[in-house]
Amino acid sequence: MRGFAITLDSIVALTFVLFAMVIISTENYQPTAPGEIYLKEVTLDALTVLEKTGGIPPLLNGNTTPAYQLVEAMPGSMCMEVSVVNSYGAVVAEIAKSGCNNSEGLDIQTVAMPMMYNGSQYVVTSESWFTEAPG
Amino acid sequence: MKGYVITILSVSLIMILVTLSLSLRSAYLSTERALIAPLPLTYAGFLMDSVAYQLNSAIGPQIGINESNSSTIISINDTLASMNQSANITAYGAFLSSQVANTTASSITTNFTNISSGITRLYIDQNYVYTNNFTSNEMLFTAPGGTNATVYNVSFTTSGVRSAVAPMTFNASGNLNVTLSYTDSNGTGTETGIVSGNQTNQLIVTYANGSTITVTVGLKNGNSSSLDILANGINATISWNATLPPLSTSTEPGYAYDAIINYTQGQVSWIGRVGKQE
Repeated sequence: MRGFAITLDSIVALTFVLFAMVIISTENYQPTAPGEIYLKEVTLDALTVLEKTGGIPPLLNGNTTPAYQLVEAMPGSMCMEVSVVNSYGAVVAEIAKSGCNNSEGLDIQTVAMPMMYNGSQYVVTSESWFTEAPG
Repeated sequence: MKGYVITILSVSLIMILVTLSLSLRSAYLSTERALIAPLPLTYAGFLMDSVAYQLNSAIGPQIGINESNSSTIISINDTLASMNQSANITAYGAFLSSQVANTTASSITTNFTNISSGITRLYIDQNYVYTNNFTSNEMLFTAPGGTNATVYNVSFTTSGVRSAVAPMTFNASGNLNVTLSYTDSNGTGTETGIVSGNQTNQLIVTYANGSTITVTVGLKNGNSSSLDILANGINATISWNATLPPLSTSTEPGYAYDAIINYTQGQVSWIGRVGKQE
């Protein structure tokens, strides 16, 4: 009976030790910036680039090339969609990076920017998301 | 008995490790919160910069500010022409307060009255005032008490036929170096010299239809070393730069329109003139 108790006790103790080793081996504190911050910053920067390189007026005039080049230049694991809504709430232009048609269930970062063009007002919206969890 | 000791030690060890794990997790979450917290501030900065850029694109001017240890050079490119952007600016302010505020879940109020009345007024480097009156076709660069400018390089271009030039009277004992260049159908004329910033010094170019461009350097509205350009009956594109004293350490380089925006989103609140810090 005593031997059984000692054996059981040893097993419990070893289980604890193994559990402790697992905790030690999996503990990894690296204070890196969350992916959503990176996503937000890139989204803000992308709209700034689009605005200050004059890419939005062509988009409103049906020329999607500058905006398309921008979204296509996003990192491989990142998707971006740019849309322009007029002051009546109607979508007047919309483009997305190729292969980025489904953002369902993924965390999305959205940035809206007001603009004037030819006496009219628009809201340019950029939505970004990762196609997979960032490494 | 030894087995129980081992068990107690093991339980103690695991409790320490669990505490350590919780602590690390807490530190990670704390770091994440600290990094995410400024995001609304980042967006506020982005929005203010965008509004300033849009206003600048609509009503100008093109402005450049170069600062060194010994001087600050402000460059302006603008037009002297009747241009009515009042409705556009008013609509933009209303648009920010309504649709943009709704889209960004924020509260935005604007007061663009002073720049939607046909006069663009800019405060540059917190010291200088630049105005362009699109009704009278007159621009003025000045500062309360004087600009202390040491150099003005001014050029303007019109499509008129020049008929007469009343040159600026230079004074070698002055304190302000001036270069004036005017381009029109007759070609380009240039005048260079020194004037006193405490006196009113004028160049008047007259065109065949009786229209004139008047450049005034020096005393204007009681402020020395100012620059005023008036286009009467003719449109002109103007380009000038002024060499000014270096900024004081408490002055931030940049410009701001005489237009107020009040932005609030959650705990982020910002109210001030629309502009851009260099």
